[in-house]
Parts: sequence; structure tokens; C-alpha cells
Amino acid sequence: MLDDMNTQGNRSSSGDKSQQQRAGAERQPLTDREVPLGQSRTTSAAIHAWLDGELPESAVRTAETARDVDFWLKVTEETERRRAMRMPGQLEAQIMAALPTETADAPATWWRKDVTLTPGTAAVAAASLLAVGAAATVAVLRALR
Amino acid sequence: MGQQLADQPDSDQAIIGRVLAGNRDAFRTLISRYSDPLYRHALCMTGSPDVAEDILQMSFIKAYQHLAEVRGRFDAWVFRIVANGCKDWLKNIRRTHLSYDEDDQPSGYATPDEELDRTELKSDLDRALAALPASLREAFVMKHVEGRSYEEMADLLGTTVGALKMRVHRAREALQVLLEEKYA
Repeated sequence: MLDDMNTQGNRSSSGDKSQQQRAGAERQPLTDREVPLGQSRTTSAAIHAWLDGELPESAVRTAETARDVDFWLKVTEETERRRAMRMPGQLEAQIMAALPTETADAPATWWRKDVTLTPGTAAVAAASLLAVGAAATVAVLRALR
Repeated sequence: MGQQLADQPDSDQAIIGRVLAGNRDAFRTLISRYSDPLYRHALCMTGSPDVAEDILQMSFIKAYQHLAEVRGRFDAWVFRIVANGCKDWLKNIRRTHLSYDEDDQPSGYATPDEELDRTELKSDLDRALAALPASLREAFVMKHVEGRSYEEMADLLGTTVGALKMRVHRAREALQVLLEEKYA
């Protein structure tokens, strides 16, 4: 992905090195369908403000911006149409059928969780208890001398 | 007063409580409450209805399994699951073509010419959106397709309003470069 959020573009303080790196990156083949944003254009701040709902269309439409306004009216018509799309009806039933059978439980605190004792964990626990007991016995005997 | 209370829909938290108490069917209310906007997000991000359905199904199953961990708003929590599902899919997929059919969507266009124009714009917009980096596509879709405010987007994505405005502005400019030769 060649997107970066550096709005200074090639005017970055890192200068030539940065430009060389960028040029090198642009020569590399794209590995997915995303395109580099090199060929950018500048949309006027007024158009962005209108699209953000901060200005009415009448305040933005001038001889210079009429093309941009018409373009975005077309795109907005399409995006607003998509806003009415709904999930396919059968999907809700599919999701409900696919839910695991066990109930989503409240998380149990660790001391309330069930403990599964396997031969391995039992052996480890027994060895640990023996080691702790031996260490405690040695400590007590040393203290008594 | 009692009737008013009875008419009010249950809060998400109340429904979650019922599900956790063993009422599995109550989860259906949460699905129907939020599935449409989540589906739209997944569809616009992936460009494929099949993938969008899969992501939605997996997300709701994940939400069900971890329902007890919800802290705060359920809708924001489940949105993040779906959005991450879309991003994971986009990271893994390499595709050259995408389109989706909406044969089941009613057409509001009067003439065949208008319908043809709309279909063309729809597929061109799909291709242009697919060409955007995921972060710009996500911001554009949330703003223009889902109609969310910048504040709401910042809340859902855990970033700042300024950063999101920048992403939306860059997405618009990139889309205009990709589409203006034909449509401007």
C-alpha cells in the first residue's frame, strides 16, 4: 500500500532521500488491487465543507466548481441508494442456527472455574507439593539449629 | 405511563442480560437491530455479498461467544468486530475483479437508459472504492454510505475527528481522479 498520511508529500524535510525512496516504491509492482495515490487532485475546501454538510449547495456552486458539484451529486445519489440496502432476509436465521449450543456464560473468576485434572497435571502438582514441603522442612531444620 | 414503558424497546444491556441468563433466542433482537448497517459496511468494504454474509455471520457468532465481555455500547463493540473482520479479509485476499449483484433490490429508475447509467456508475464506483487503501475506503464508506458523523466515526474507530476528515478528504480526491474522466 502506497498510502501515507503525509500531507506535505514531496516537500517533506527528509528531502532527496525521501523522494528517492518514494520513487523506488512507485517502480515496484503492486501486489494487490489498491492503487497508489500519486495522481492526486485538490478539491476545494468549499466542496469538502458542502459534502460534510457544513455549507449548502447554493453557497458552493460557482462557474469554476459546477463540474465538481455535479460530479459529487451523482456519486452521492449512488452512495445514498446504497444506504437503503438491507441484509438478506435468510441470514438472520442462518446466524441463529450457527450459534454454538452452549450459552454465552458470564466470565467466571479464576477461583470459580472448573479444574480439569489429568494424570500429567496431577504428577506436576504432586512434584511441586513435594518440592515445597522439602524446602519448608529444610528451612525449619536450619532455623532450629 | 405503564403503556409507554411497555412500548419502549429493550436496551441492549437488558437483552444481553437475558441472553447471558440462558435465553438464546433474545440474541435475535440484537442481530435484527444492527445487522443492516453492519451488512452495508461489510458489503462496501469487501465488494462481495457472499463475503459480507460470511463476515457478518462469523462476527455475530464471535459476539455471542464473548457477550459477557461487552463493556459499554454493544453496537460499537460489534461494529469493531465486523470492521476488523473486513480488514483481515482485505489483508488476505488478492483479487482483480469485484462486483456485486443487487437483483433483489428494487430499482427506482424510470427508463432503461437511466438504469444503464446507474448500473455503470455503481460498478465504476465499486472498482474505484476497491482501488483505495483500506483505511480511506473505510472512512469514505462510513461517511458517505453509512451517513455517520465524524464524531461517531472517531468513537467507533478510536481515532481523532481530524484524522478521519483527512482520510475522507483524501478518499474523495482519489475517487474523483479515478472517476472524473467519465462522470465529471
